Amino acid sequence: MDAVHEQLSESASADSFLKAEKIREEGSRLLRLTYPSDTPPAFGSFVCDVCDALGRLILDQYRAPATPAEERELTLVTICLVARIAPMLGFVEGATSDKTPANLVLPLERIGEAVLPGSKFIISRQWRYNYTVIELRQLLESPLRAILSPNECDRLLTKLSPNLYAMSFPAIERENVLLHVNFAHEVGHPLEDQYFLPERAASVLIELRRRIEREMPGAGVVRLVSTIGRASELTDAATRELFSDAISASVFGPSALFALSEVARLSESMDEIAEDMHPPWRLRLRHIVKVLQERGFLDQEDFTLKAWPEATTGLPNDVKRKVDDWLAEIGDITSQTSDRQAIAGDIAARCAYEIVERTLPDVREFARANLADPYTCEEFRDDVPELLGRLFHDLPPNQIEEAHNKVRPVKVASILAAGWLFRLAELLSLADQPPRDYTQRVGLLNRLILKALELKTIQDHFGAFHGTVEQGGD
Amino acid sequence: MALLSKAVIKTWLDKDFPDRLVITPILDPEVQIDEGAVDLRLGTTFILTRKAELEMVDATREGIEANIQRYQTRVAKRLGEKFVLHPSELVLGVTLEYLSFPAQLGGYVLTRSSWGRLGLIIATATFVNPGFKGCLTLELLNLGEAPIVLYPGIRVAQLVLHGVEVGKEPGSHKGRYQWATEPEFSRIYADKELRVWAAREKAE
Repeated sequence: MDAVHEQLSESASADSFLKAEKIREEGSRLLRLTYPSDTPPAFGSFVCDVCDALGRLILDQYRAPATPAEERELTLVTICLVARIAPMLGFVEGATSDKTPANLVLPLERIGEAVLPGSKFIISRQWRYNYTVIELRQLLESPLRAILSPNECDRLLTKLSPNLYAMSFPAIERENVLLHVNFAHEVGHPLEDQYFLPERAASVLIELRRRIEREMPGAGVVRLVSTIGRASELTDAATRELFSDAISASVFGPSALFALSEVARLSESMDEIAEDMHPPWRLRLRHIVKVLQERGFLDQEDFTLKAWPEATTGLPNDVKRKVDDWLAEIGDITSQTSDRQAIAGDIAARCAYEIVERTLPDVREFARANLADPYTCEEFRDDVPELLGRLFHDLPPNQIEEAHNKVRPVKVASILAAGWLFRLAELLSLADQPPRDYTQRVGLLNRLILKALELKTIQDHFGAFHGTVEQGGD
Repeated sequence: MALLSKAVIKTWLDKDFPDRLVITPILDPEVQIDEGAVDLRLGTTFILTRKAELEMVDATREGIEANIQRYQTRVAKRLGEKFVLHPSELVLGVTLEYLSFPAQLGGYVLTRSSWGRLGLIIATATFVNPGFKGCLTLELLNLGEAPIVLYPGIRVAQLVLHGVEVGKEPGSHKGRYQWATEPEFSRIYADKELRVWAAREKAE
């Protein structure tokens, strides 16, 4: 050990202990804040317990001077603390009531638990403009097992849900409650592994190899292997995204199309494969449209809203026409095949996407068959027009009221769908008005939807206790 | 105009729009709708005062809008979480129910007497205008000697309803607290005439 290294390591024990203390202190501070759900503070408490355990480990092993082996161990502990444990507090900090759309958190957790039974979710903001999902237990278990004794590790991990996911949303969209339909896409990601069984991946690889060898006669082994590898990655990434899109459309129906199109609008290209290998937006929208057509929400021929009653009362006459006009624009976008042309010049991408497009019916069927409680076109048709009528009267769309003592609860998917239809039918045309007016109207819509979600949660809670209110199906 | 009885309240709740009185949700109609009044529940959000930030409330001062928001802070409580209101403490709460009044009805929000006997006052500005839509902000004040524990969802208020004599063209309410879904900070600064009354002091 040279002199400088020795000097740097001189206070390694104290430094590592201090870091554990600071993380625990910050965790304790976060536990005093308010959260819309029990899951974030429970995870914060787990992080504090981990810091306590690591602090005890440092004190138990303290020797002055430390042997090189002890120094290495301390370095491992410090790296674990700063690289793995401390960032976890970001998920807790971003999940407080004032940083999340608090009334949406419990309904989303319930939807997530229905899609992935036995799972828990921390819904947290992030400043990256993206929706993401991370499995937290996997992230923490192996570094902790490398440091702590098996008994200590088991003791700590029993406090952690076996399937705990951090779901993050773009912070600037906190109040844009309708956009958070995109959570269902993220919930779909952990389900992917049930579809991507090893034998399926192996058969895809064999087919890619056959296709690429045929497309590149005389190419050297290195080039062939590289192309096959890239094509395999593209196939995997695209199929996984499209699988999750099918889940999103199955959970939320047409709202999945509306929400995805709002994100797609922000992209520079509808036709290019993204840097992170996500498939072209045009293909994703086309795929969701297909899901909605197969499930009876949209007409097979002209993309119009099919799940709609023949007659509605209390709604402006042109509501459906305005929604259909919007859907016709989506129909135009998805009917064009410029994404396929953009891919055609790239052998790896072309071969990958030929397989991807061929497997999409299978992906859609798997998503349909493996979801416990998909949103149906009958539920949409029965509930959404009534809820939409409430929005036109500036009321939260929390329930359907036949009389003051005869109310019918609705699914969260119906509440959000009513919000989207109101936005398309009533607010889209206001977008060319002064920004402040438009912003106020959108703000009111978001508040009414959040209020409806809060009331639905409370109605379910009270109904379960009181036995007078029917449960809402979510 | 006379107060509305239980039976008449129910008929207003079941009318078609735009004449319908909406109180949503009425979780337990048999208990909540009584002769002459409807019980309202406490919502989940509160506005507290940060006294250390508070110099004084002078609605005519420059920047009062920002100042009001600086010395008041929102707190959300989950179902089952308690909120402790200490003696002499003023906190803004909100009704759980979202209301929509037709032009032909007005109302008053009062403390349920069982809570009043413990020292709890839930509203000082009690009138609800015809045409109002939204959740009502409650001014929660503990006049008693002991802290009072409150929970979101409990029935703290009662809404007394009465008819309004409407002319040929019913007016439409455009109050500054219309469409609220959470307790609202005071917007007293929107009273433009305040500057007229405070003009002399400003000049000095």
